[in-house]
Amino acid sequence: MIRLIVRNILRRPLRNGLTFAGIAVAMAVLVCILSFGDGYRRALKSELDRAGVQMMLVPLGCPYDAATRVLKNNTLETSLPETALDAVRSDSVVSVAAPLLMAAAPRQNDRRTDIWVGLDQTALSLKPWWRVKNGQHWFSNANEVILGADAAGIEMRAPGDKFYSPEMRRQFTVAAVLERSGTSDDSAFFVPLTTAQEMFSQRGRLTAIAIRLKDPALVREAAPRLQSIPGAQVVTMAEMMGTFLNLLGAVRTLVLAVAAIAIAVSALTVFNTLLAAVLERTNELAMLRAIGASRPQVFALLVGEAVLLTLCGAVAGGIFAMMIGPRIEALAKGWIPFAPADVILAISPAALARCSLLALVVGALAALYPAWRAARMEPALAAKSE
Amino acid sequence: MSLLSLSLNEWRRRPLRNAVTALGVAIALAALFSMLAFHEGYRDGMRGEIDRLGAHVLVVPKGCPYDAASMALHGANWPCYLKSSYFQEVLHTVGVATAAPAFMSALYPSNGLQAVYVGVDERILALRPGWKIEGVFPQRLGELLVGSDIARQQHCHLGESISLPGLAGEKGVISGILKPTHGADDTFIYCRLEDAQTWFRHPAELTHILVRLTDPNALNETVGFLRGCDAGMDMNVVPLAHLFRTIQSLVNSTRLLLGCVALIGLLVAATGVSNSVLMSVAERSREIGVMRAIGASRGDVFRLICLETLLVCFAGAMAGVLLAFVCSRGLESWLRSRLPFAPSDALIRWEWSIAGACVMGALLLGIMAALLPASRAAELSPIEAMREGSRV
Repeated sequence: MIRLIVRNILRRPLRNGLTFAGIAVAMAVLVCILSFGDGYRRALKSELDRAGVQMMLVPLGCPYDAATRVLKNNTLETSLPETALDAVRSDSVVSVAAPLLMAAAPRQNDRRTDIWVGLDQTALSLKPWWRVKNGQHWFSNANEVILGADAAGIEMRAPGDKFYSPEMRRQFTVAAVLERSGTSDDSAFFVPLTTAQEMFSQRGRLTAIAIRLKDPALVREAAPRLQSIPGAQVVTMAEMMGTFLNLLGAVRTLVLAVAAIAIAVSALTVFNTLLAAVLERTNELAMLRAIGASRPQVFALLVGEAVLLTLCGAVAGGIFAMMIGPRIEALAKGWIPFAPADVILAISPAALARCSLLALVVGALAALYPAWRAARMEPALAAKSE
Repeated sequence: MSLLSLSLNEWRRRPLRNAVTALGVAIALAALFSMLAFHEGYRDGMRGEIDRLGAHVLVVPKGCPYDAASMALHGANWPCYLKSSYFQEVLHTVGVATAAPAFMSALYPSNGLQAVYVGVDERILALRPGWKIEGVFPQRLGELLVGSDIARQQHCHLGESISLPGLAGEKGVISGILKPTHGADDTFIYCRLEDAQTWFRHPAELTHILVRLTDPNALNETVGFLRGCDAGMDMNVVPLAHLFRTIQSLVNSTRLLLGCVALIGLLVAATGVSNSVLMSVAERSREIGVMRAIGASRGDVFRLICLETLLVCFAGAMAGVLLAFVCSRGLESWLRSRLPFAPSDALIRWEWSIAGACVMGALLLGIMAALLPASRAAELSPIEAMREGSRV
């Protein structure tokens, strides 16, 4: 019977090809959306876990906005006084408190923006991915810079090189180049904290303080105490992740709804194609019945045709999604408020399985009416029609 | 027989197939239309809501200002509070024309409705020039100004003494009823600031301060001053224009994504149309052969098939716009439950220009979908076509 189904489909290559293309495109979109949601949650969690930071102290303003900018090495409009750092460090449950100062230096000529990050040695313990490819381990004087892997690539600098930054009016020596880590650090220029404060005339100011507690379970206890530091507010990573996932969940629901419409439209096409096939093959189907095929057999034949078509469409859609996945990911990272550096659009087997199941159901549903019409056909029609 | 009546013939021949094809177009187009209309409605709704608030800047407790602004706009229970003393500092900051302190709290009495109480003083009137009050603004403790929706639901009259919903044992006298504002104010109960502070046991605390500037163009400067005042370290100063911009950019990027997916839906619908016309060409190859044999040119056949396709698409487009119109109410309540920040105005608004653009888009799509089947039909040689049904 399978052979018969396949032959029937191949009989009308163009028509079935078009139907198939419609299903494949709709399914590709669905696979992408489903995998994206899963991948995003996973990548976000792993990035936050790896940093080992339970909370950030940021200036007043939207704390989510602020924490995002800090994690993505973007600059803030407002800043914290350095006294906040002492207040944090004197808290009994804080294990590491790393001050950061970030600033963006737009470069008109190259039409890009360099991100400069000032940090002190405490930051090293919060950046387990920080590996020096070659050069010194840490700054030996104030005018040294450590380059992220991408930054070094763009600047074409190696350790020991000297370069003059016209925007900063300063001469720098490259102390080290970092290995690629897949985080936003790859594109940053790192300098000692005090240097950064001088460069951007932010003496005594910080962009944020990343905090690791002695015990992660103490977050609830420590947050209100740190919140009371003047001019600062606390964002816990758990809260932040919750907010982003909520926001993303809302967007995902909307997109899924629109994708469902594409699937519905492709189901209608399947319905049409199959109905046309039944009408065309009236003679043949009636003949089948006349030589002994039962009504359920004819019904199954037609449903099988539809299901095979939609299943193939789903598989092709999955393959298509894998091919265009990286491209979509690059697009998506541009507008998502907090995009983890890991791969977020990994096509998951779970998503593929869900889509295949959906294809099966959609195919069967679309085939019901045409198959019923085919099964209803009287064997006697064979002689009459045409 | 004219070309048009010939193409209408095709509808009579295969009504089910053409209806299903048109339905596909309709569904895809309805999605596109709703999305475009939604964006317009959302933007205007946000702007209207912020205008009605009457403030340029909102001063709220520490925490996410977007949450706080949403609470101030729609009424909710606040998790943290400002000290009353900050108000005087805000009021005396350079660039501030006027400011109104507010204490807001929401209660959920057993009947499932929410009762939002807002404690204010006379300064609020300067920020809401649009308010028309039947009666007077509360002058003494225990007096209330109720929104029009509340007044209608509770059937209250001026001067009537009512027990306050959600606050057992407390009573208030209605001194004024607010004429409909078509905003969240319609569902709020305004009372004296001191009353609200007593009822909710937060003496000398506020939830937010509404600030109006002398010169809205000096926004950034004044925000700087507000952040720099003594209390500036313990409160969040939210310029509503920035808030509007941020939310708008978020919505825009979402819309871009939704638009891409909706376009894919339309593309899928186009393959369906193409397919259905292709089938009808295959079925009628003999008929087309006869037409060619009795003198119809290739161009005539091409035009006929194109016209047929366009008719299907046009019917689909009309049905789609109608479908979107019919479903808009249901869709809106669904969206409202999903969106983190929804204005209280209608989200999906009927726009003739959008409807027109959608129908035009569908016709364009129809032309594209018609190209393949129409050229196939035109290429049929009369003799071949009449001898046997061509394989398409």
